[in-house]
Amino acid sequence: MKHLRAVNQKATRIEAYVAWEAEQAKAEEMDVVGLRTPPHEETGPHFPMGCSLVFSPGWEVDSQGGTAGLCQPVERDIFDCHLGCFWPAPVPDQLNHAPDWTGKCASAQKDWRKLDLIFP
Amino acid sequence: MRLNVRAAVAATALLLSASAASAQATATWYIGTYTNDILVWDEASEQVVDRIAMKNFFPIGVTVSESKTRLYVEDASMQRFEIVDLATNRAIDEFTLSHDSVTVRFEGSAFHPDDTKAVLLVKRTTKMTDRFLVEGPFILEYDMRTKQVTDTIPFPDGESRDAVGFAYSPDGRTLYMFADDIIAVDAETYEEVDRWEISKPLEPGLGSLNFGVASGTYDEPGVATNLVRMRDPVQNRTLMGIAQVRLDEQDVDFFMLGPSEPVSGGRGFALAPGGQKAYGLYSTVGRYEFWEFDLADRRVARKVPFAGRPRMGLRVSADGEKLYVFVAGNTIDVYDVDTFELLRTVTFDEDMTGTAVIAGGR
Repeated sequence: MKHLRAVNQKATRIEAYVAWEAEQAKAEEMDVVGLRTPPHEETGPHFPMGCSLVFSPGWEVDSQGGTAGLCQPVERDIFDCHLGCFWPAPVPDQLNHAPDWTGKCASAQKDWRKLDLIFP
Repeated sequence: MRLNVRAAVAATALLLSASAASAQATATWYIGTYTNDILVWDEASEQVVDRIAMKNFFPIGVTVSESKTRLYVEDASMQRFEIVDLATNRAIDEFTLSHDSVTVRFEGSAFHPDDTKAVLLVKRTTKMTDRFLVEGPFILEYDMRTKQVTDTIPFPDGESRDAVGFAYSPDGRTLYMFADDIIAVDAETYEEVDRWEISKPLEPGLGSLNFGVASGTYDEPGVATNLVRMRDPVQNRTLMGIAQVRLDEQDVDFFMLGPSEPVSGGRGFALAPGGQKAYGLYSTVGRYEFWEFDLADRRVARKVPFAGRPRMGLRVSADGEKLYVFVAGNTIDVYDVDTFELLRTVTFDEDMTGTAVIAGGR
Protein backbone atom coordinates (compact mmCIF):
# COMPACT_ATOMS: atom_id res chain seq x y z
CA MET A 1 0.00 0.00 0.00
CA LYS A 2 3.02 2.31 0.12
CA HIS A 3 2.62 3.09 -3.53
CA LEU A 4 -1.08 3.86 -3.31
CA ARG A 5 -2.53 7.12 -2.09
CA ALA A 6 -6.12 7.65 -1.05
CA VAL A 7 -7.76 10.13 -3.39
CA ASN A 8 -11.35 10.05 -2.22
CA GLN A 9 -13.24 9.97 1.08
CA LYS A 10 -13.99 6.25 1.04
CA ALA A 11 -10.38 5.29 0.45
CA THR A 12 -9.34 7.64 3.24
CA ARG A 13 -11.82 5.97 5.59
CA ILE A 14 -10.44 2.55 4.63
CA GLU A 15 -6.92 3.74 5.47
CA ALA A 16 -8.12 5.13 8.79
CA TYR A 17 -9.93 1.92 9.65
CA VAL A 18 -6.95 -0.28 8.78
CA ALA A 19 -4.72 1.95 10.91
CA TRP A 20 -7.20 1.75 13.80
CA GLU A 21 -7.38 -2.03 13.40
CA ALA A 22 -3.59 -2.31 13.50
CA GLU A 23 -3.49 -0.15 16.61
CA GLN A 24 -6.07 -2.35 18.32
CA ALA A 25 -4.07 -5.45 17.47
CA LYS A 26 -1.07 -4.01 19.31
CA ALA A 27 -2.95 -3.56 22.57
CA GLU A 28 -1.73 -6.02 25.18
CA GLU A 29 -4.88 -6.10 27.27
CA MET A 30 -8.10 -6.80 25.42
CA ASP A 31 -11.55 -6.42 26.93
CA VAL A 32 -13.74 -9.46 27.29
CA VAL A 33 -16.76 -8.91 25.07
CA GLY A 34 -18.42 -12.32 25.17
CA LEU A 35 -21.93 -12.44 23.70
CA ARG A 36 -21.51 -8.90 22.49
CA THR A 37 -21.22 -7.47 19.03
CA PRO A 38 -17.92 -5.66 18.54
CA PRO A 39 -18.42 -1.89 19.00
CA HIS A 40 -17.55 -0.99 15.42
CA GLU A 41 -20.18 -3.42 14.18
CA GLU A 42 -23.03 -2.20 16.34
CA THR A 43 -25.81 -0.54 14.43
CA GLY A 44 -28.70 -0.68 16.88
CA PRO A 45 -29.51 -1.55 20.45
CA HIS A 46 -27.59 -4.44 21.96
CA PHE A 47 -29.68 -7.53 22.64
CA PRO A 48 -28.22 -10.26 24.82
CA MET A 49 -28.23 -13.75 23.38
CA GLY A 50 -31.02 -16.20 24.12
CA CYS A 51 -34.57 -16.66 22.93
CA SER A 52 -36.11 -15.92 26.32
CA LEU A 53 -34.32 -12.60 26.42
CA VAL A 54 -35.01 -11.44 22.90
CA PHE A 55 -38.46 -13.07 22.75
CA SER A 56 -37.69 -15.03 19.65
CA PRO A 57 -39.75 -16.90 18.65
CA GLY A 58 -41.74 -15.94 21.73
CA TRP A 59 -45.48 -16.05 21.90
CA GLU A 60 -46.24 -13.35 24.44
CA VAL A 61 -44.47 -10.52 22.66
CA ASP A 62 -42.40 -10.41 19.52
CA SER A 63 -38.94 -9.02 18.98
CA GLN A 64 -40.39 -5.53 18.55
CA GLY A 65 -42.28 -5.68 21.84
CA GLY A 66 -45.62 -6.04 20.08
CA THR A 67 -47.81 -8.93 19.05
CA ALA A 68 -47.93 -8.61 15.26
CA GLY A 69 -44.84 -10.74 14.81
CA LEU A 70 -46.03 -13.69 16.83
CA CYS A 71 -46.69 -17.02 15.26
CA GLN A 72 -50.14 -16.85 13.79
CA PRO A 73 -52.24 -18.40 15.04
CA VAL A 74 -50.50 -18.55 18.38
CA GLU A 75 -51.16 -22.30 18.63
CA ARG A 76 -48.86 -22.81 15.66
CA ASP A 77 -45.88 -21.97 17.81
CA ILE A 78 -46.74 -23.17 21.28
CA PHE A 79 -45.31 -26.66 20.74
CA ASP A 80 -42.00 -25.27 19.62
CA CYS A 81 -41.73 -23.25 22.83
CA HIS A 82 -42.33 -26.53 24.65
CA LEU A 83 -39.79 -28.39 22.52
CA GLY A 84 -37.03 -26.00 21.67
CA CYS A 85 -36.95 -23.24 24.22
CA PHE A 86 -37.06 -25.21 27.47
CA TRP A 87 -38.99 -22.27 28.85
CA PRO A 88 -40.53 -23.56 32.05
CA ALA A 89 -42.81 -20.65 32.95
CA PRO A 90 -45.30 -20.30 30.07
CA VAL A 91 -45.18 -23.90 28.81
CA PRO A 92 -44.33 -27.18 30.52
CA ASP A 93 -40.72 -28.30 30.46
CA GLN A 94 -40.43 -30.96 27.78
CA LEU A 95 -37.04 -32.37 28.72
CA ASN A 96 -37.61 -33.19 32.36
CA HIS A 97 -41.11 -32.78 33.74
CA ALA A 98 -43.69 -33.10 30.99
CA PRO A 99 -42.16 -34.94 28.03
CA ASP A 100 -45.55 -36.22 26.88
CA TRP A 101 -47.51 -32.99 27.33
CA THR A 102 -48.37 -33.04 23.63
CA GLY A 103 -49.18 -36.78 23.64
CA LYS A 104 -52.93 -36.31 23.30
CA CYS A 105 -52.68 -33.35 20.99
CA ALA A 106 -50.81 -33.92 17.75
CA SER A 107 -51.83 -30.57 16.27
CA ALA A 108 -52.11 -27.62 18.62
CA GLN A 109 -54.22 -25.58 16.24
CA LYS A 110 -56.79 -28.36 15.90
CA ASP A 111 -56.65 -30.18 19.21
CA TRP A 112 -55.50 -27.63 21.79
CA ARG A 113 -58.39 -28.49 24.11
CA LYS A 114 -56.77 -31.88 24.64
CA LEU A 115 -53.64 -30.38 26.16
CA ASP A 116 -53.36 -31.39 29.79
CA LEU A 117 -52.93 -29.04 32.69
CA ILE A 118 -49.56 -29.54 34.32
CA PHE A 119 -49.03 -29.01 38.03
CA PRO A 120 -45.62 -28.79 39.68
CA MET B 1 -5.96 -24.75 5.35
CA ARG B 2 -5.72 -22.49 2.36
CA LEU B 3 -8.51 -19.96 2.31
CA ASN B 4 -9.28 -19.88 -1.36
CA VAL B 5 -11.98 -17.30 -1.79
CA ARG B 6 -12.94 -16.05 -5.20
CA ALA B 7 -15.16 -13.06 -5.58
CA ALA B 8 -17.56 -12.91 -8.47
CA VAL B 9 -15.58 -10.21 -10.21
CA ALA B 10 -12.83 -12.69 -10.93
CA ALA B 11 -14.87 -15.83 -11.33
CA THR B 12 -16.40 -16.63 -14.66
CA ALA B 13 -17.89 -20.04 -14.05
CA LEU B 14 -19.48 -19.50 -10.73
CA LEU B 15 -22.57 -21.09 -9.37
CA LEU B 16 -24.06 -22.51 -12.51
CA SER B 17 -21.41 -25.08 -13.20
CA ALA B 18 -21.43 -26.66 -9.79
CA SER B 19 -25.09 -26.63 -8.96
CA ALA B 20 -26.06 -28.64 -11.95
CA ALA B 21 -28.21 -31.09 -10.08
CA SER B 22 -30.58 -32.27 -12.74
CA ALA B 23 -34.27 -31.62 -12.25
CA GLN B 24 -36.08 -34.49 -10.58
CA ALA B 25 -39.67 -35.43 -11.22
CA THR B 26 -40.56 -35.75 -7.58
CA ALA B 27 -39.14 -35.88 -4.11
CA THR B 28 -39.96 -37.70 -0.90
CA TRP B 29 -40.31 -35.78 2.33
CA TYR B 30 -39.73 -37.40 5.72
CA ILE B 31 -41.58 -35.24 8.21
CA GLY B 32 -41.15 -35.61 11.97
CA THR B 33 -44.34 -34.93 13.92
CA TYR B 34 -45.57 -34.45 17.47
CA THR B 35 -46.59 -38.12 17.52
CA ASN B 36 -44.49 -41.27 17.31
CA ASP B 37 -44.71 -41.23 13.52
CA ILE B 38 -42.64 -39.84 10.70
CA LEU B 39 -44.80 -38.99 7.71
CA VAL B 40 -43.59 -40.08 4.28
CA TRP B 41 -44.99 -37.47 1.93
CA ASP B 42 -44.82 -37.75 -1.83
CA GLU B 43 -44.30 -34.36 -3.36
CA ALA B 44 -45.86 -35.08 -6.77
CA SER B 45 -49.13 -36.48 -5.45
CA GLU B 46 -49.06 -34.36 -2.27
CA GLN B 47 -50.20 -37.43 -0.34
CA VAL B 48 -48.90 -39.14 2.77
CA VAL B 49 -47.81 -42.46 1.29
CA ASP B 50 -46.47 -44.13 4.42
CA ARG B 51 -45.90 -43.63 8.13
CA ILE B 52 -42.76 -44.75 9.91
CA ALA B 53 -43.43 -45.69 13.52
CA MET B 54 -40.79 -44.63 16.02
CA LYS B 55 -40.41 -46.29 19.40
CA ASN B 56 -39.63 -43.05 21.14
CA PHE B 57 -41.89 -40.05 21.59
CA PHE B 58 -41.44 -37.86 19.53
CA PRO B 59 -38.99 -37.48 16.59
CA ILE B 60 -37.42 -34.05 16.23
CA GLY B 61 -34.29 -34.41 14.13
CA VAL B 62 -34.37 -36.27 10.81
CA THR B 63 -31.03 -36.75 9.04
CA VAL B 64 -30.53 -38.58 5.75
CA SER B 65 -27.42 -40.74 5.51
CA GLU B 66 -24.85 -39.98 2.81
CA SER B 67 -25.92 -43.10 0.90
CA LYS B 68 -29.58 -42.08 1.20
CA THR B 69 -30.47 -45.55 2.44
CA ARG B 70 -31.06 -44.60 6.07
CA LEU B 71 -32.54 -41.96 8.30
CA TYR B 72 -31.05 -41.10 11.66
CA VAL B 73 -33.87 -39.85 13.85
CA GLU B 74 -33.26 -38.10 17.17
CA ASP B 75 -36.05 -38.16 19.73
CA ALA B 76 -37.23 -35.16 21.69
CA SER B 77 -35.42 -36.19 24.86
CA MET B 78 -32.15 -35.89 22.88
CA GLN B 79 -31.08 -39.22 24.37
CA ARG B 80 -31.82 -41.67 21.56
CA PHE B 81 -31.20 -42.08 17.86
CA GLU B 82 -33.33 -44.50 15.89
CA ILE B 83 -32.13 -45.81 12.55
CA VAL B 84 -34.67 -46.16 9.76
CA ASP B 85 -34.10 -48.38 6.74
CA LEU B 86 -35.45 -46.49 3.74
CA ALA B 87 -35.90 -49.63 1.66
CA THR B 88 -38.63 -50.79 4.02
CA ASN B 89 -39.46 -47.53 5.79
CA ARG B 90 -39.09 -49.24 9.14
CA ALA B 91 -36.96 -48.53 12.21
CA ILE B 92 -34.26 -51.20 12.40
CA ASP B 93 -32.10 -50.13 15.32
CA GLU B 94 -31.54 -47.49 17.97
CA PHE B 95 -28.82 -46.39 20.32
CA THR B 96 -28.48 -44.35 23.47
CA LEU B 97 -25.78 -43.61 26.02
CA SER B 98 -28.21 -43.08 28.91
CA HIS B 99 -28.62 -45.77 31.51
CA ASP B 100 -29.94 -46.05 35.07
CA SER B 101 -29.45 -42.68 36.76
CA VAL B 102 -27.17 -41.39 34.02
CA THR B 103 -28.67 -39.16 31.33
CA VAL B 104 -26.58 -38.42 28.25
CA ARG B 105 -28.03 -35.90 25.82
CA PHE B 106 -26.85 -35.53 22.22
CA GLU B 107 -26.21 -31.88 21.44
CA GLY B 108 -24.53 -32.38 18.07
CA SER B 109 -23.89 -35.24 15.71
CA ALA B 110 -22.55 -36.37 12.35
CA PHE B 111 -22.76 -39.80 10.80
CA HIS B 112 -19.95 -41.37 8.80
CA PRO B 113 -20.80 -41.96 5.12
CA ASP B 114 -20.26 -45.72 5.51
CA ASP B 115 -22.80 -45.77 8.38
CA THR B 116 -20.44 -47.50 10.78
CA LYS B 117 -19.73 -44.74 13.24
CA ALA B 118 -20.82 -41.33 14.42
CA VAL B 119 -19.29 -38.37 16.14
CA LEU B 120 -21.41 -37.04 18.99
CA LEU B 121 -21.31 -33.93 21.15
CA VAL B 122 -22.79 -34.92 24.51
CA LYS B 123 -23.37 -33.79 28.06
CA ARG B 124 -23.74 -36.31 30.88
CA THR B 125 -25.92 -35.77 33.94
CA THR B 126 -25.80 -38.22 36.85
CA LYS B 127 -28.50 -38.21 39.48
CA MET B 128 -26.74 -38.57 42.84
CA THR B 129 -28.41 -39.02 46.22
CA ASP B 130 -28.07 -35.34 47.06
CA ARG B 131 -27.41 -33.56 43.77
CA PHE B 132 -27.06 -33.80 40.02
CA LEU B 133 -23.54 -34.15 38.67
CA VAL B 134 -23.22 -32.50 35.25
CA GLU B 135 -20.17 -33.39 33.15
CA GLY B 136 -19.05 -32.38 29.73
CA PRO B 137 -19.49 -31.45 27.03
CA PHE B 138 -17.51 -34.25 25.38
CA ILE B 139 -16.96 -35.13 21.75
CA LEU B 140 -17.20 -38.89 21.32
CA GLU B 141 -16.65 -41.35 18.53
CA TYR B 142 -19.42 -43.96 18.65
CA ASP B 143 -19.28 -47.30 16.84
CA MET B 144 -22.82 -48.04 15.65
CA ARG B 145 -22.03 -51.72 14.99
CA THR B 146 -20.71 -52.61 18.44
CA LYS B 147 -22.67 -49.82 20.18
CA GLN B 148 -19.59 -48.72 22.06
CA VAL B 149 -17.89 -45.37 22.59
CA THR B 150 -14.55 -45.96 20.90
CA ASP B 151 -12.74 -42.65 21.30
CA THR B 152 -12.84 -39.22 22.90
CA ILE B 153 -12.05 -36.46 20.42
CA PRO B 154 -10.28 -33.30 21.54
CA PHE B 155 -12.13 -30.01 21.14
CA PRO B 156 -10.90 -27.63 18.45
CA ASP B 157 -7.93 -25.70 19.82
CA GLY B 158 -8.41 -27.47 23.14
CA GLU B 159 -11.29 -25.18 24.10
CA SER B 160 -14.37 -26.89 25.50
CA ARG B 161 -17.50 -25.57 23.77
CA ASP B 162 -21.22 -26.03 24.23
CA ALA B 163 -21.76 -25.92 20.49
CA VAL B 164 -19.64 -27.39 17.71
CA GLY B 165 -20.90 -28.31 14.27
CA PHE B 166 -19.66 -31.46 12.50
CA ALA B 167 -19.68 -32.82 8.98
CA TYR B 168 -17.87 -35.69 7.31
CA SER B 169 -16.48 -35.26 3.83
CA PRO B 170 -18.35 -37.37 1.24
CA ASP B 171 -15.46 -39.86 1.11
CA GLY B 172 -15.45 -40.17 4.90
CA ARG B 173 -11.73 -39.45 5.28
CA THR B 174 -12.08 -36.02 6.82
CA LEU B 175 -14.16 -34.70 9.68
CA TYR B 176 -14.87 -30.98 9.63
CA MET B 177 -15.45 -29.16 12.89
CA PHE B 178 -17.16 -25.78 12.75
CA ALA B 179 -16.04 -23.49 15.56
CA ASP B 180 -14.52 -20.02 15.15
CA ASP B 181 -12.63 -21.50 12.22
CA ILE B 182 -13.35 -24.58 10.13
CA ILE B 183 -10.93 -27.26 11.26
CA ALA B 184 -10.38 -30.40 9.20
CA VAL B 185 -9.20 -33.45 11.13
CA ASP B 186 -8.39 -36.95 9.97
CA ALA B 187 -11.51 -39.06 10.52
CA GLU B 188 -9.46 -41.91 12.01
CA THR B 189 -6.74 -40.23 14.09
CA TYR B 190 -8.52 -36.89 14.73
CA GLU B 191 -5.29 -35.03 14.11
CA GLU B 192 -5.69 -31.66 12.47
CA VAL B 193 -4.84 -31.81 8.79
CA ASP B 194 -6.01 -28.42 7.67
CA ARG B 195 -7.59 -25.22 8.91
CA TRP B 196 -9.79 -22.63 7.29
CA GLU B 197 -9.36 -19.38 9.18
CA ILE B 198 -12.75 -17.85 8.43
CA SER B 199 -12.73 -15.87 11.67
CA LYS B 200 -10.17 -13.56 10.11
CA PRO B 201 -11.05 -10.98 7.46
CA LEU B 202 -9.98 -11.72 3.92
CA GLU B 203 -7.88 -8.61 3.97
CA PRO B 204 -7.57 -5.49 6.12
CA GLY B 205 -10.59 -3.24 5.93
CA LEU B 206 -13.06 -6.07 5.40
CA GLY B 207 -15.12 -8.03 7.89
CA SER B 208 -15.08 -11.80 8.06
CA LEU B 209 -17.39 -13.83 5.82
CA ASN B 210 -20.36 -15.47 7.49
CA PHE B 211 -21.75 -18.31 5.38
CA GLY B 212 -23.66 -21.54 5.77
CA VAL B 213 -21.97 -24.90 5.24
CA ALA B 214 -24.99 -27.22 5.15
CA SER B 215 -25.82 -28.64 1.73
CA GLY B 216 -29.36 -28.27 0.43
CA THR B 217 -31.45 -30.92 -1.29
CA TYR B 218 -30.41 -29.76 -4.75
CA ASP B 219 -26.75 -29.02 -4.05
CA GLU B 220 -24.15 -31.39 -5.39
CA PRO B 221 -22.53 -33.65 -2.76
CA GLY B 222 -19.98 -31.72 -0.76
CA VAL B 223 -21.28 -28.36 -1.94
CA ALA B 224 -23.35 -25.86 0.04
CA THR B 225 -25.08 -22.87 -1.56
CA ASN B 226 -26.44 -20.29 0.83
CA LEU B 227 -26.59 -16.63 1.72
CA VAL B 228 -23.38 -15.00 2.83
CA ARG B 229 -23.05 -11.89 4.92
CA MET B 230 -20.03 -9.72 5.46
CA ARG B 231 -19.63 -6.70 7.68
CA ASP B 232 -18.23 -3.63 5.98
CA PRO B 233 -16.67 -1.86 8.96
CA VAL B 234 -15.66 1.17 6.95
CA GLN B 235 -19.13 1.98 5.70
CA ASN B 236 -20.65 0.61 8.93
CA ARG B 237 -23.05 -1.70 7.16
CA THR B 238 -23.57 -5.40 6.51
CA LEU B 239 -23.56 -6.75 2.98
CA MET B 240 -25.47 -9.75 1.72
CA GLY B 241 -24.66 -12.08 -1.13
CA ILE B 242 -24.67 -15.70 -2.19
CA ALA B 243 -21.83 -18.13 -1.62
CA GLN B 244 -21.09 -21.61 -2.80
CA VAL B 245 -18.85 -23.53 -0.42
CA ARG B 246 -16.84 -26.63 -1.31
CA LEU B 247 -15.32 -27.89 1.90
CA ASP B 248 -13.20 -30.57 0.24
CA GLU B 249 -11.56 -28.03 -2.02
CA GLN B 250 -11.44 -25.35 0.69
CA ASP B 251 -13.08 -23.04 -1.74
CA VAL B 252 -15.76 -20.36 -1.60
CA ASP B 253 -17.19 -18.66 -4.64
CA PHE B 254 -19.35 -15.72 -3.74
CA PHE B 255 -20.89 -12.54 -5.04
CA MET B 256 -22.47 -9.70 -3.12
CA LEU B 257 -25.97 -8.43 -3.88
CA GLY B 258 -26.07 -5.29 -1.79
CA PRO B 259 -26.87 -4.18 1.76
CA SER B 260 -28.13 -6.91 4.06
CA GLU B 261 -31.89 -7.35 4.26
CA PRO B 262 -33.90 -9.61 6.59
CA VAL B 263 -33.84 -12.56 4.22
CA SER B 264 -33.09 -15.58 6.30
CA GLY B 265 -30.42 -18.08 5.36
CA GLY B 266 -30.67 -21.72 6.33
CA ARG B 267 -34.23 -22.96 6.10
CA GLY B 268 -35.45 -19.65 4.63
CA PHE B 269 -33.24 -20.07 1.56
CA ALA B 270 -33.61 -22.76 -1.08
CA LEU B 271 -31.58 -23.58 -4.16
CA ALA B 272 -33.74 -24.68 -7.08
CA PRO B 273 -33.02 -27.86 -9.07
CA GLY B 274 -30.60 -27.08 -11.85
CA GLY B 275 -28.78 -24.48 -9.83
CA GLN B 276 -29.76 -21.46 -11.92
CA LYS B 277 -32.17 -19.96 -9.40
CA ALA B 278 -32.61 -19.77 -5.68
CA TYR B 279 -35.37 -18.39 -3.50
CA GLY B 280 -35.43 -16.65 -0.15
CA LEU B 281 -37.96 -15.40 2.36
CA TYR B 282 -37.89 -11.77 3.39
CA SER B 283 -39.58 -11.51 6.76
CA THR B 284 -40.28 -8.58 9.04
CA VAL B 285 -43.21 -7.93 11.33
CA GLY B 286 -46.26 -7.77 9.07
CA ARG B 287 -44.39 -7.86 5.76
CA TYR B 288 -43.27 -10.94 3.88
CA GLU B 289 -41.76 -11.28 0.42
CA PHE B 290 -40.51 -13.99 -1.89
CA TRP B 291 -37.09 -13.12 -3.27
CA GLU B 292 -35.92 -14.80 -6.44
CA PHE B 293 -32.17 -14.90 -6.99
CA ASP B 294 -30.85 -15.24 -10.53
CA LEU B 295 -27.56 -17.06 -10.00
CA ALA B 296 -26.56 -16.84 -13.65
CA ASP B 297 -26.77 -13.06 -13.78
CA ARG B 298 -25.90 -12.68 -10.07
CA ARG B 299 -28.79 -10.47 -9.11
CA VAL B 300 -32.08 -10.37 -7.26
CA ALA B 301 -34.55 -10.99 -10.06
CA ARG B 302 -37.84 -10.47 -8.23
CA LYS B 303 -39.24 -9.39 -4.89
CA VAL B 304 -42.92 -10.25 -4.51
CA PRO B 305 -44.95 -9.55 -1.34
CA PHE B 306 -47.20 -12.34 -0.12
CA ALA B 307 -49.36 -13.16 2.86
CA GLY B 308 -46.71 -14.94 4.89
CA ARG B 309 -46.52 -15.77 8.53
CA PRO B 310 -43.89 -15.65 11.23
CA ARG B 311 -41.40 -18.50 11.33
CA MET B 312 -41.43 -19.94 7.85
CA GLY B 313 -39.18 -22.33 6.03
CA LEU B 314 -38.89 -22.67 2.26
CA ARG B 315 -38.27 -25.50 -0.19
CA VAL B 316 -38.46 -25.75 -3.96
CA SER B 317 -40.26 -28.65 -5.61
CA ALA B 318 -38.25 -31.23 -7.51
CA ASP B 319 -39.67 -30.03 -10.82
CA GLY B 320 -38.79 -26.44 -9.93
CA GLU B 321 -42.36 -25.25 -10.45
CA LYS B 322 -43.62 -24.86 -6.90
CA LEU B 323 -42.48 -23.36 -3.63
CA TYR B 324 -43.38 -24.87 -0.28
CA VAL B 325 -43.75 -22.68 2.80
CA PHE B 326 -43.90 -24.65 6.02
CA VAL B 327 -42.17 -25.33 9.38
CA ALA B 328 -44.47 -24.11 12.18
CA GLY B 329 -47.78 -25.93 12.55
CA ASN B 330 -49.42 -28.65 10.46
CA THR B 331 -49.62 -27.09 7.01
CA ILE B 332 -47.56 -26.72 3.85
CA ASP B 333 -48.55 -23.78 1.67
CA VAL B 334 -47.92 -24.47 -2.01
CA TYR B 335 -47.06 -21.46 -4.23
CA ASP B 336 -46.57 -21.18 -7.96
CA VAL B 337 -42.97 -20.33 -8.70
CA ASP B 338 -43.81 -18.09 -11.66
CA THR B 339 -46.61 -16.00 -10.18
CA PHE B 340 -45.91 -16.57 -6.45
CA GLU B 341 -49.64 -17.12 -5.98
CA LEU B 342 -50.93 -19.49 -3.34
CA LEU B 343 -52.17 -22.62 -5.10
CA ARG B 344 -53.38 -24.61 -2.11
CA THR B 345 -52.59 -25.61 1.45
CA VAL B 346 -51.72 -29.16 2.40
CA THR B 347 -52.94 -29.97 5.91
CA PHE B 348 -51.73 -32.80 8.09
CA ASP B 349 -53.27 -34.17 11.25
CA GLU B 350 -50.03 -33.53 13.13
CA ASP B 351 -47.78 -30.54 13.74
CA MET B 352 -44.35 -30.91 12.16
CA THR B 353 -40.91 -31.06 13.76
CA GLY B 354 -37.79 -31.80 11.69
CA THR B 355 -37.95 -32.55 7.98
CA ALA B 356 -35.63 -34.20 5.46
CA VAL B 357 -36.13 -34.44 1.71
CA ILE B 358 -34.68 -36.87 -0.81
CA ALA B 359 -34.87 -35.72 -4.40
CA GLY B 360 -36.19 -38.24 -6.84
CA GLY B 361 -38.01 -40.19 -4.18
CA ARG B 362 -37.43 -43.84 -3.39
